[in-house]
Amino acid sequence: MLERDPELDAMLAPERQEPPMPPAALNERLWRRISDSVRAGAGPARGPVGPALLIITGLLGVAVGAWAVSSFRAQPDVPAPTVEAPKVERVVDAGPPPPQTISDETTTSPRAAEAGARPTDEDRFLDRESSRLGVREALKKNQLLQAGAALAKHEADYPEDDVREEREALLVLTAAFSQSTALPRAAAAFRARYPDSGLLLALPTPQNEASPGRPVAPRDGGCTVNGRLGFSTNDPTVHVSDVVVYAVTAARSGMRTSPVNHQVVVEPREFTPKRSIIQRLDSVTLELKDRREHGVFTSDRSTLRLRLLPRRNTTSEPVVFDTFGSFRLQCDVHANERGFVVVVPDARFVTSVADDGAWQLDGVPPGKVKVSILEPNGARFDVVVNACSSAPIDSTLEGNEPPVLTRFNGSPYGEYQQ
Amino acid sequence: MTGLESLYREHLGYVLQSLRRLGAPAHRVEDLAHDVFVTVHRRLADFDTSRPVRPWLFGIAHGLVANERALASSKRAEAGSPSEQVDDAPGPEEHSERAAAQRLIRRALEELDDEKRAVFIMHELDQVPVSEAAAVLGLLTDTAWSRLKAARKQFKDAMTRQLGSMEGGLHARTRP
Repeated sequence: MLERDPELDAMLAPERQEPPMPPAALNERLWRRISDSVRAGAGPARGPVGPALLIITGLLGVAVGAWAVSSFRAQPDVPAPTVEAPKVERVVDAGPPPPQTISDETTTSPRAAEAGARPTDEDRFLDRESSRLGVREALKKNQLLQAGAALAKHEADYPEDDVREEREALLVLTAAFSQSTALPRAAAAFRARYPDSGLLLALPTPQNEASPGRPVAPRDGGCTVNGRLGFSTNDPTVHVSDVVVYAVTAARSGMRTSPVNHQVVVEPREFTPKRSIIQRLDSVTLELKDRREHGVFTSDRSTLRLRLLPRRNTTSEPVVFDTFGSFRLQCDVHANERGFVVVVPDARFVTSVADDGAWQLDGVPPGKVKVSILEPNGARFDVVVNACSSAPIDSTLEGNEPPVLTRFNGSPYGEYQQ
Repeated sequence: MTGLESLYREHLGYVLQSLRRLGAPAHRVEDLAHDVFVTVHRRLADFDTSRPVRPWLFGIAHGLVANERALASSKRAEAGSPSEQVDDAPGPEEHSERAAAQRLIRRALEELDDEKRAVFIMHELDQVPVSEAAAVLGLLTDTAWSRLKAARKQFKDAMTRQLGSMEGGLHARTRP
């Protein structure tokens, strides 16, 4: 807590008064612009993000490919997904001009050219938002080709605009159109990432979802794969029981396809559970049970960037983990608060190593199976075996050196940030 | 639009003032104010009405100015052009003593880096509690306090330096 500084107060006194009323002309001019933008469905100004033209080109290619394949195999009893486009909300309580009409083909409206004048920032902003609205309208109507073309043009015309949401929606719709097995996960990931997106209504509902939190049972008559691990590590915070063993099989049927949200409770000195084993594309929600604030992040600083939990019972947005591996959870405030999220490809066949190094996976389908043994600091042992005729897998694993843990901004724990 | 319009009528002056304090270029202030209220329109449904409006508006303005700065910086890097000069010469209405003092303050604010400046403006000028400012800016409260402490020192140093140079200038002009 800082004391008041009379000298500073004196310096700042002239600036501490209520802001003056803006000139009436500015006031009205600006309000007209804002009304126009709101009527045109303009979103907020977005930060600069790289255009990623290659990605959109790829997406467009996928969309076109899906369309071509679908045209070739078009059957009257297998209609393309048709989802009625939701009505676009327009606010029309301000006077003229009338709401702008945007067709699917017209993705930009060269206002400045129409007026024969040099484009202003306002023109460019409105053109950009009209262009993006065109993309979104096409997506809502499941017009993939138009959406892909409009998106590519938008990216070329407005490389500074962030259209990740539209790109991902196009990817999901393309998966739906081509009846891809990736659809449920792609759709669920989109929902998790953009929970309030206006494009959600256009997305198909995933079918055959498993009950959340309950993995789908493996096929009947599975095999048992077991082994014993000799584990050594220099990290005093890691124990052999923190090591995870998981299997990946060629048989994907029965694998859980709908992501599950897992909860990690942030307590005064620890994460509970200390280790969460999740399937790729599952999400994790953090809930604070301490009176003081915490800031949680993963040590790689990218999977989970600093997530602030300012007060008791604060719950974070779900964080989707889309990469395999072991991720260390850290707190920005408390140096000794440790936890792990282990992301595996298939949550059906996962187990922990017992204190004596023994482990066992049950119900594994017959045939070739890849078994991976992963310790919290990332060292791993992989082996491919035949599930029903494999001898016990005896292995040794030396843990990686523990990382030097620092706060999110790289400063050491224990130093007050300046 | 009614909610948006009432917010606009009541707080436009504050938004313009905040954008200037945050160092938005003079020719972009109006555009950024437009963007602030378009963003407000989008997020109005999510706003917790039990909380004060101005810190929320300031948070939006701060994000937009930061984006603007990043965009300008990347464009400059691409074009290899020198940094943009903001015309801070006094306008006709700025000849009063108070206006001169305000210009000194704004210049001193410009010397703070973005992170410190935002906390400083919110707490010292808008009188927002540090915990509220931290929540709006997405900071830990401890971090906000430490930035505020550093910002106070930098600001006072900058003001002292400016006052010193003004006095030096006056002496030089009045010397025979």
